[in-house]
Amino acid sequence: MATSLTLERVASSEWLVPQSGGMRVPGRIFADEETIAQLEAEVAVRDGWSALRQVVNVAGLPGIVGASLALPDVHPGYGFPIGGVGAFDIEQGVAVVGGVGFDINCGVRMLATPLSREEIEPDLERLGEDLYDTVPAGLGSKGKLRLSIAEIDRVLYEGAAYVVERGFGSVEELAFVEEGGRMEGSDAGAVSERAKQRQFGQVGTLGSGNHYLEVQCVEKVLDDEAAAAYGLELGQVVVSIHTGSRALGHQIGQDYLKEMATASTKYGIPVPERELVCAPIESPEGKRYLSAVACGSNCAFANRQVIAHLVRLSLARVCGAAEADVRTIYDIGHNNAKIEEHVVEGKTRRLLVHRKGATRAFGPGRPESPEAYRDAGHPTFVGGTMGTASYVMRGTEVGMKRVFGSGIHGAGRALSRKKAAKRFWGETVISDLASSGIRVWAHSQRGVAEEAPGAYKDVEQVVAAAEAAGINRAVVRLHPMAVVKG
Amino acid sequence: MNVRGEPTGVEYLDHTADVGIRACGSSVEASFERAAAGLFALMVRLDAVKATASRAVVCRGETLDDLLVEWLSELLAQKDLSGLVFGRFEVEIGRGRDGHELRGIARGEALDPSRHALGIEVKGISYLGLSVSRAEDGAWIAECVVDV
Repeated sequence: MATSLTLERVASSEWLVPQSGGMRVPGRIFADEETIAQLEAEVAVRDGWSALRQVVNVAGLPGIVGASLALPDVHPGYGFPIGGVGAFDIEQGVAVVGGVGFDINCGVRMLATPLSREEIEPDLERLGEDLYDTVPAGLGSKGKLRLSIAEIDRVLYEGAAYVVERGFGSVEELAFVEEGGRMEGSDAGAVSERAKQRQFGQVGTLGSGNHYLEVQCVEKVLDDEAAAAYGLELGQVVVSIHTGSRALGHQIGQDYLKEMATASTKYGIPVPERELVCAPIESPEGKRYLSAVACGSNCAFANRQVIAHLVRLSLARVCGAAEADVRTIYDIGHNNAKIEEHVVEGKTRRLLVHRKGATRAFGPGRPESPEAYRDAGHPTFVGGTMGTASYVMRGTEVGMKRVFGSGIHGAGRALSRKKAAKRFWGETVISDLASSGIRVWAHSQRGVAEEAPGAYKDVEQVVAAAEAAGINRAVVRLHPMAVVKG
Repeated sequence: MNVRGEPTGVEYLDHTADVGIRACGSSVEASFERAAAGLFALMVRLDAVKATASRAVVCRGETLDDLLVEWLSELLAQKDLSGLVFGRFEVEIGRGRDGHELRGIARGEALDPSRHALGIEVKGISYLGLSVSRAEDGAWIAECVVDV
């Protein structure tokens, strides 16, 4: 019999799921009332698929520290909820496949351009078309960089640095990529040949679903100091790239769901759901999985690096922007598990922090942040929908204490893809957006319908809930101008 | 195929971020064939896919649930490895070493974005909501959630 689900409101934007049954820690959800009502409604429809049940399931895993956390963009995933954060003690805890998912290190790279909204407006149509033609996207698309297995292995070890060596971007910008664009501890031997073979043509491809390229402008500065640190100003045009580790990451996820099921049995860890298969962090199986995750992460960094370069070429071709003037603001993932130091009840501890549909959001002073951002804390990116604002945010001291330095990553879906596809029509979504001045180029009309702005929660409410809880602070608000959907 | 793009015997289930597939058939093999059709109908317009090429698939699973994940994830891998998309499937399931063995053929052709009305790429086959079961009327139902 599953543990019954009760929620206690402990602050305006914070709910507690009290510890009961097999939970080792409580659940803690940072969200607004509307989101909480949606979470409760999901339980009534199908308990086993609900985000709340997923929060409770994660709370029962060995070695979890503090609480099983959910951020304001929480919605159902598999294993962990999307918007879920789980930190585990290195000695007692586990590495969990469902805490990372299939799209390892899916994330966002943001490029700052030297152009203002007014300057880019006359070229926007041509820019959108050029981006659509230049950046491989959509089902089955092939990248411009064809790699042998040996070269794929170099991507897995060297990450973004390898594709920089191949001519995509500059060494200097790697300082503005999380982990310097290369996650330590990767082992290409932990990745199947099949995963590598599937990746052959996919380095530098955008993918589909919720992946996108978006030309945006800064429409409001909300934190002058941090905006200045990031080099962002009112009216400035930026480009966001949302994609992940492509087929390589997908195959790693699929392979390890099987491998870790065996490990869970071997170590006698009961798992409430198959997606939560896991192994002790320090066990050979746990280490091997984390090595494979590091490979997937490096593949994602390389992927975004290649696409960033293609975007630069487009901006140069169409708008005459010098390549050197198109700067990487930051590149940060939102599906990962990383070993980090955190202060828990006054003691510094090493923890494995899983963030599934959640970014790292380290506040001021952390050595992991680029030097230029150390006082402000590094930026985080919150993707809106094609028709609504996106945000650059940052971590806070409160966030460091309450959510292990984690941040929201998007608006969060409200409607299933099936409901969205029934309610919206791709062509209509595109023409509606065009009438409000937002141009969309799409490889899949059905994808556009499923990704319609109406299928998502209101990003403003999600950002407001994160701010009300004090875990993240908004730095600038971005308005969408042109969107390329995979 | 009905107006919602659901192939015969397939129903898509509501999952907020991903997609549930429920495939019914008169035999366990038929339910697996239809689940595969349900998988590819998310990615392409199935009736636009000609059966000019094929790939043979062999996979094993301790349980029928495991076998369903193996079958569908093998098809996803074959899509990337071959550049083909598939529209027709034939499945035979027998007892193998340590469980069930599936021998299948997937028929299709090279992906052509101009003809296949692209949908969204499926990233993986999850174990959430996974079940292969027999209903009271004897029909087989194969169910799973796929990540998109």
